[in-house]
Amino acid sequence: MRLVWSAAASLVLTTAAVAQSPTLTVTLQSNVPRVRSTGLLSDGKFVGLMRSGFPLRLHYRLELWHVRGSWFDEFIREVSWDVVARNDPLADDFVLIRQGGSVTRYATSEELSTALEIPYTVAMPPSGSQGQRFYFLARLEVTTLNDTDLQELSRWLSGDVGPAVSSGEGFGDALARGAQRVLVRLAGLPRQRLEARSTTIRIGDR
Amino acid sequence: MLAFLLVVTALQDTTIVIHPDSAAREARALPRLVAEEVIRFYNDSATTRLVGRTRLPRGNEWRGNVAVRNGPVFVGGRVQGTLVVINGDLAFEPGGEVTGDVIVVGGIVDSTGGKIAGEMRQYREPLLYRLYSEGDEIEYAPNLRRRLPSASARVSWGSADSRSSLTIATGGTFNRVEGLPIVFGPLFDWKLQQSFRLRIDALGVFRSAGDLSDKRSDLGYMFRSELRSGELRPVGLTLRAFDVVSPVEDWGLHSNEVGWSSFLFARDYRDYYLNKGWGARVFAQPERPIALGLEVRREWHTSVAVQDPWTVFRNSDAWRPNPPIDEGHYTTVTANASIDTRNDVDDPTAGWLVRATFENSRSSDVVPHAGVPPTLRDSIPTDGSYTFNRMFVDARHYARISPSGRIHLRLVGGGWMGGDPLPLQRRLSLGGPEPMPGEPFRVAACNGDFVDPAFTDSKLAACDRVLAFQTEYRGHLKLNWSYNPSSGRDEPPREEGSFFWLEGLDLVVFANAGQAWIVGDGPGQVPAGRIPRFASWLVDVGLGADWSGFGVYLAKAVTTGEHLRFTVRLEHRF
Repeated sequence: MRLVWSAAASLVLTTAAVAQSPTLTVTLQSNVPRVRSTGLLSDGKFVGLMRSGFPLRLHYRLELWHVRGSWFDEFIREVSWDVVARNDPLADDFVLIRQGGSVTRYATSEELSTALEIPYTVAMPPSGSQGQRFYFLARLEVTTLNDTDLQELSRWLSGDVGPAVSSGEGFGDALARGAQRVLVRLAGLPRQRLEARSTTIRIGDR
Repeated sequence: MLAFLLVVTALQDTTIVIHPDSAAREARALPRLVAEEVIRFYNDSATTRLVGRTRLPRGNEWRGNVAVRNGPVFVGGRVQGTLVVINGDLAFEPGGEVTGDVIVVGGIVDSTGGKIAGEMRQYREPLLYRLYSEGDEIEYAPNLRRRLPSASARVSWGSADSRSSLTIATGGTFNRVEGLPIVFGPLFDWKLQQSFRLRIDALGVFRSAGDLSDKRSDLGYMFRSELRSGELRPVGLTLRAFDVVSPVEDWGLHSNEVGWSSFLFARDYRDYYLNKGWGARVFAQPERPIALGLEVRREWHTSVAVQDPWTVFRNSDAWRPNPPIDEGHYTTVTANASIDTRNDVDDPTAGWLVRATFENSRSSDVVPHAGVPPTLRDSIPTDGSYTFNRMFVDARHYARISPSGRIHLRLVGGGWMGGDPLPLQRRLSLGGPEPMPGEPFRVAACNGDFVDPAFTDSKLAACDRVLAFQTEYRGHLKLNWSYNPSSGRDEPPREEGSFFWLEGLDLVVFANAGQAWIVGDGPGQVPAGRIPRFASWLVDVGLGADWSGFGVYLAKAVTTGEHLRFTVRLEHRF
């Protein structure tokens, strides 16, 4: 009996430990990818930052790849989307802003964490001829934002926040850009980057 | 427990659907002209501005121009004027009407049941903007990473269809000839008709290093007028006149890296000449990744001597001399094409970038420099028949081979393609720090026979052709390095409170090979239809760490006895 309880306790502890660790997974349902992140707030670090006034930006990126017989696989397309989470100190709750501008409030960080674990189904099934193989790569980058970033990103949630073409960059631009890079790297704000790959899909398989 | 299981079950059944067509990837490049037009319209004092979900019920009316950001917008009534919707959809209800134009960016229009008297334009690409003037107005903000102000100032005014501005900004790369060029002057932009615009820039160039010669002042100019039709797939005509300092070779280090190196350490990795003339260019972008151009230029090239601009370090050191060129008036026809399928311009992980340029140039009054040895080139005709062809190709491929590993390949080269020998200002070289960081600067420059004092220590680039192949593997490292002086030896390292934080480093392992050479049948030369024997190629290998472009690299030349070389870069290698 003691052995059973020990095994059960180990299982619970192991499960808890796994749940504590931030993870990103890509699963497939009828070749349609589902991207899910779990445990992002489990260590309390990002919750503490939100309570200190630093909103979180979650930038998801999903890529579709074609498996080729040659050395390199072929990139087909990608889709990216953003989510912003922040703490509202006046209401003492957490605000989640999703792609398209929908705003949801959560009373506790646990509720916010649960909401962040809702998977995303991306309507990007691979298409190709019989026997071709594909897979998905997902990436999630969690970063903290300052107020300016938050304002900009909240406006941009209906679109891309990717870099724009910049040609003819002058000396001043380069000066600002270089200084910014150093500042961002030395700012001491944590980041989290997760990557995951789906199983391989073969067109025609069921 | 049962409730918990129900919650978990419900959670697993819940999902958020992402439609790629409406998400960011497809919506990456709203034409700049459209962005500026929409911003001007929004900021116009006569425009009524609304924010968020907006509805105009049947039987109601808005008078005047209306701009709504972050829609959606539902129109059941009548809009007497032009309606602009920024980053939102527009839907008409039965009886809805707009008497003017309708422009929607970052959304779609459902005009079923509605009536639009003017033109209707929609762009799926969102407008990237931010608020200013206490939220009353918006401005273009294309990139989070570029939000720091640049060293420039601009004052603009205008209406929704035209804009004028006065600008003062740094105009290029800090260099040993001009110092820091500063441009200033007006810019005009008019919308002549739908999707048909005229832009005129008339900028003066102030060279902080002083006069370039006794015949010129320290002022240059850049005048450009551009007539452009179309926004997503534009075609157009550009006329320009210029009096500028042009680089001899600009394909190695990035311009800002050359500028920083010059400004900090008095090491200028380019040569320059004074270029005065005019040009006419037609261009077209038949598909988004494809750009084509054809230009005719009439230029007057003259040598220019080194000035002595101030630098942060080594200010008392002498600059490398700027070598003289073959002066004269040149008429050049240039055709260029580019294909860009990269998934990201700043940090690509997939796709191709291919750029090719072919030019035919001729001169009736060229003055070949007398110090060029006959072993380098045949004599340049001075009877008015001088003509030469030159080509340059830069092809890059970016491929991900694992979730965190990438392979980048680059083939770059070009040079003389026919006709008379190249003038000095169109010749080439190969060496460090780019594309071969393991080799000295211009290690292959074909200048060994120069004895004329005018070229002493100038390290002139004198080769006819160059070819280089670069390859690198990039592996992303999850490196978390912290320094916390308060933590005890027995305590586990803590991330919170650490003073430094490093993450997101790319480990780069690279190899480069290439050679530059003189075309000909003489000793040490390579026939026109061949490339140098592989045994003579320069090869270097190395590794480095790239931190979003800021990188440090160690490289070792394989085929020569060079010592290990250390390089700091501000941009990705390619």
